[in-house]
Amino acid sequence: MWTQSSEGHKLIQEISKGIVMEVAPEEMDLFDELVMEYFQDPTPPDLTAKPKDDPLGFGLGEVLIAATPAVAAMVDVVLNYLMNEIVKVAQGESAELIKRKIKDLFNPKKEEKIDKSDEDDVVPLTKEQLEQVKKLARKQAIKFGIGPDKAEKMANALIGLLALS
Amino acid sequence: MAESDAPKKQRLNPFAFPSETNVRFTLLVIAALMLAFDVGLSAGVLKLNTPAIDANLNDPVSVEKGLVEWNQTLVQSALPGVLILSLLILATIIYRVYPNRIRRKKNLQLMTRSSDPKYMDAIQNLVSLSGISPAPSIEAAPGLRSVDGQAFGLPNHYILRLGGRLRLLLRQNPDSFRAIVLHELGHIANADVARAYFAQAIWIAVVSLTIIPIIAFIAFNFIQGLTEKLSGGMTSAEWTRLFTLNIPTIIILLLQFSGTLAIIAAIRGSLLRVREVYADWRAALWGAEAPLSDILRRNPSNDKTPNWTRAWMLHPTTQDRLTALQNPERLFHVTLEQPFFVGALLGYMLSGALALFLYVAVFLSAGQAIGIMQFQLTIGFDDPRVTFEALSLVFSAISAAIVVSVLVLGFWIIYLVAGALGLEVQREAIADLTTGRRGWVRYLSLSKPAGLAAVGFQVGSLLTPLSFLGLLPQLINFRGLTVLLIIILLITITTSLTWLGLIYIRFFARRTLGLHVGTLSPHGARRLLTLVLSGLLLASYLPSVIGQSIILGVILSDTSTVTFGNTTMLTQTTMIWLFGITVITALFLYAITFGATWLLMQAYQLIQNLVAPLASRLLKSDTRWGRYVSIAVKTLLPGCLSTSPQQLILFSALPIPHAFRNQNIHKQQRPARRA
Repeated sequence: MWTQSSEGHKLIQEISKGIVMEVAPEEMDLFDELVMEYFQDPTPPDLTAKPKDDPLGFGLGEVLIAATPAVAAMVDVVLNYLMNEIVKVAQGESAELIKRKIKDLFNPKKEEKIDKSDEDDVVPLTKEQLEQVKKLARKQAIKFGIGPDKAEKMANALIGLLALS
Repeated sequence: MAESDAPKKQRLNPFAFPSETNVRFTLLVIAALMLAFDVGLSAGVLKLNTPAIDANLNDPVSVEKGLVEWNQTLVQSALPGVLILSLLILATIIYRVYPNRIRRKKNLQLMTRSSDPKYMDAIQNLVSLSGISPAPSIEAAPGLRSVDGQAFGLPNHYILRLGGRLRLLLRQNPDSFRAIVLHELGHIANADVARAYFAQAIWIAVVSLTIIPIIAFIAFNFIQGLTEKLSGGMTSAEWTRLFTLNIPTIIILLLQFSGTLAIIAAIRGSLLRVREVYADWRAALWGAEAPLSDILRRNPSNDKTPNWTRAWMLHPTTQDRLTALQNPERLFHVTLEQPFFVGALLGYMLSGALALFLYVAVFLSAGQAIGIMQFQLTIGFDDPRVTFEALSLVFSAISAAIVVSVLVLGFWIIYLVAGALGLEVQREAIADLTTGRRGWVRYLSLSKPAGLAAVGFQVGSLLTPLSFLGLLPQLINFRGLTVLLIIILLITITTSLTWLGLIYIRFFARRTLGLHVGTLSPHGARRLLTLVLSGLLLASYLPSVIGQSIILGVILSDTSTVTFGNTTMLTQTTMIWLFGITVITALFLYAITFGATWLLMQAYQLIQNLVAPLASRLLKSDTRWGRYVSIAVKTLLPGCLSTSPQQLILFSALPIPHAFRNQNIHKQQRPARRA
């Protein structure tokens, strides 16, 4: 999948950074490490894992939920969804163009347009698609151990980025 | 002072009185060595053949022959020492390499300041707060998402393993971060690391060097014998013997080993669980009580853990930790598991220690005989410079010195047992002074720990490999019933005698430690009480030790004598008489000790009244008032008495964090003194 390539990772990292800055600014110090941790192991944390009973250990082994990997996972799943949606409406277009359209969805103003033809224009998402994006994002965040309220906030931040475009 | 006068609910300071766990760690190590010795004896690795002393010193041939025999005996009698020394060396190696094993297992990497300056500075601040010096190194496993921690390492080079998410925790919730790191530093400050890992290392050594090889040897011999018999054809009598004697004996032996390991693992679990609570409390005294409580509340223990497996767990449930943190008075109660475990350890140790003592005696005899014979061969007693008597005198002096050392060692073991049992009673007695609990019910309740210690002793004695439990298949008869009745009698007598000892400790702890006034914790008085209890316990358990021999006599009723090597030692009747005499002696000793201590107390109080009449009157009025009296003493009578009574130490759990902040580790390890 494209999101697993270095280019995809870069995009995920870029989008996630903005969201993390908004919902969990205290994690910015460790942002790069936490995102890398997600890329290396994209599975959700095992919240039911039993603590290890090591001698003179703390004995609880509480799993601390970081927002950054959850945001990265959220962005990952949303990018894949958007890619499928764009492919549906833009069949026959080059992969490169599709990627650019996805990028434009998130950041159209900063990206320099190479070709200003009609087919390069940003295809706005429908209300249903936005709803679906939010639902997917929220679900993925919860899967990564984020509480419902914070997951909602994170999904809204993501939608905000899309809506701004 | 103002803080202690506040109306808020005051709590006991767990560090005002030393914990008995330190003593139990030492007992665990000694029990391991004694058990190894027992295993060696039962497996036939350790044998002892004492030659008849018939060497004629005037006959060189006889001397040569005697030398060969005694040399053999010397080597045999030295084997336990070699075994124990090997175990200690192996345990030391295991202990030394253990930190590296943890590093490899957890894939730990050393963290430096450059990796995360904010994080490392925060830890450094907490290390400074704790006063631990040298500072422990920080290691972490990359990629781990837990906020766990672990203290390990060697003295002067301790290590904190911190979970991968602690760096994030510092950013998200700095108070929780402080609580976890301080808990781990608490283990180092409480000197838990060396004790816990060495006790673990010695048991790994014992299990791997003695128990596992012996089990493998027994299983191999049994299967080989059975195969040979089966190939040759077995008679019906042999089949019957196989199922009624051989297989049950093997099963009992395996049960003994597994029972021993289960008890030892439970003791280790119990010790480490207590130390966790003390580490929590140390962190609380350093100001992390609230976040620690929050963490514990957030992580309720998984209730699916069966209750019976909790005995082997190394951490208490979070509910228990929280309760101990909120109400440290629980740490001052006499527990029920601890006396049982101490009794069991004593059971393991005594049977091994008695046999060991006989080995030492034979070793000395062999050394003396060899020395004299060798001297005769090389120099000869015709030489006027050295007479036979002079040489004997030298050897006797050396022997006496060694015997005294062994006896001192034995008494030290009893002292440790008394320390473990007595300290809990002393702590409870002092805590009761603060809560006002008193009366005969409190004395009566001491019968429970006394009973459990007596039962634990019997269990420990039965689980040692040389016990008569292996003869159980032959005891499904009237003799078995007799043995059972004797065991019940022994438990009853030992319970009663131990109970009297605990009553003594409670009675005098209230009257000596409870009235202590001084800037230091009353170590002297406490140790004196423990020393007296050691004597009383020695007298209390002597009948039980003799009782074991009586039981053996009942079981082996064909040979109603106790023998050792070639020597017949005592008849069954003598043993029964000896048993009665030791019980009466124990009671007599108890009465004398109680009376003498009471008289000493009276004399001491008389002197106190003369030296400081007003303070003495105030202190005696009601111990609950001791705290207020201390203020009066400090204000009004600065020259008469010291200024920090024990009562104040006990009440000072909350104000202490501030007092603790700038102390170094050496003072931290003895907080009661400082407090």
